[in-house]
Amino acid sequence: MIQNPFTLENKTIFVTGSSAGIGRAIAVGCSKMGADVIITGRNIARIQETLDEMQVNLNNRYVLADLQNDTDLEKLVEDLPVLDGIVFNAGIVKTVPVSFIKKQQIQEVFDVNFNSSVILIQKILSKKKIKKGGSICFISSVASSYVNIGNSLYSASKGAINSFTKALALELASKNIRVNAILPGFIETKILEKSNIDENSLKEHLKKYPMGRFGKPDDIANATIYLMSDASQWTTGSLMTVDGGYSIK
Amino acid sequence: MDRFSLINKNIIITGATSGIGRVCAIECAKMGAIIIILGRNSDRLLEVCAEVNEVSKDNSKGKHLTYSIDLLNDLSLLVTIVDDAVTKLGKIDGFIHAAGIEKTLPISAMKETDYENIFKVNAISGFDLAKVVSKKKNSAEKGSFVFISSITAVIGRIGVVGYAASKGALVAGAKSMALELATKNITVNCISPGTILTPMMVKYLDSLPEDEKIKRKDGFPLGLGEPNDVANLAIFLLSDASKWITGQNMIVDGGYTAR
Repeated sequence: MIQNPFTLENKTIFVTGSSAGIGRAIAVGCSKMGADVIITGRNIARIQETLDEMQVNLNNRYVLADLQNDTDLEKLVEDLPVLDGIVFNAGIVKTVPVSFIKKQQIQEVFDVNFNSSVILIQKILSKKKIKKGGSICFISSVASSYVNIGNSLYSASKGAINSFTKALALELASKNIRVNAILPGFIETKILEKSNIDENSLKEHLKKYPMGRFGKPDDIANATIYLMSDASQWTTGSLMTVDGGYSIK
Repeated sequence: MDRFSLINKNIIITGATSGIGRVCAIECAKMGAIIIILGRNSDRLLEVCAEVNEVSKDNSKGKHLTYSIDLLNDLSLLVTIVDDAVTKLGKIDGFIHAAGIEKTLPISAMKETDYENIFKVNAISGFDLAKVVSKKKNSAEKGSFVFISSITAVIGRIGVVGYAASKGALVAGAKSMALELATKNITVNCISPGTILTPMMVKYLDSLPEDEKIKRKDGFPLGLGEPNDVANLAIFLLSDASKWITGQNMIVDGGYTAR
């Protein structure tokens, strides 16, 4: 039997923001590839739904935590086993023209999209909760370089993640821990269906996608699996754009 | 596991008789692909074909094809080769253009023909392959084209002006091609590796003075790469798992360009 280079068997992978959308697809995808997956979110019903969708595996579990809450964060890291892989996926979008930005909004966007991930990885590293040879992946956004009017804060916070990815990659190379980011284009998720974005503007936006469709959460999950697996053992500090050709048009 | 499988995919690989191309052929075969092996040397073609058969799954064992072609002088042969392969195997699902030549010379010593030869093999033959394979009669319902570029497409390195420029041409060409071929459901991407320990590279590194060898190696935070590192990314890009990735230049360099 030839070993599949993308297998995640015998790996324990921790996925944040895994109660819906991209994070859920990543957790389910990693589980299908054989990983033991630990998920985290704030809402017990939704995080349970993610757990239910994963392969039957007694080692899969969730930790309820609000990543903005310091006590939760401490407990979460305490509770984590030594990991082979971590996927940082938590994020929010805030659309506001620059002339209307309030200090508290900057704080809010950066807290969720940047600060909490930095604090979490700091704690994981200082508690030695990631193995040598492990893999860290940040879900950034193509919006970090290809911006839309009104999304300056979101784009800036994702740009910060890109820079942080490279810096962390260099710092952890001596431990053979790899750090990369995935930059997704527009992904269709259930949250989107419930939002009030009108159909016409979606249709208009779709024209910017050469492959003729928006992304699916699985498109991002697949790239994440590649980065979590040993197939990418020499890939570090890379920003992987997964956007159906949006950024080249 | 299925999403990364290459079962029932017919994949052309140029430069498949040595180095990165050879390992791509073997690794893609392990994932179930049927390989159309292109190279110059007929003996080496047979050797690689034997290696490919050895690791093949039952569905593809014995089905792989070999074609001898000199991309520098006989590029027009591509049309006949692809025609023949399609007749024997069915339509083409993708290719890896791994053929490449390097010439390390200062710009003062580069001749016009040096540039022409490097560009012909490294870039133009890849573009021509894309032209032939993307024809309706040759291309499967969805396809994936992969060009092996180099980090010299995005960084500076002394003495490789022609090589670097030809690899940069692939990166630029792939973007344009990606837009053009998106309507045919074909994705087009480049892989830009750092220094990969192919037999030829090992020989070259061994010829360097020790301090220069160390210097080359030290540029890579994770050390030097293996051909498999490129092959694995190529498999991902050829598989259905990456159908929403196009026009990209994927860097696999052990952290070199993060600095």
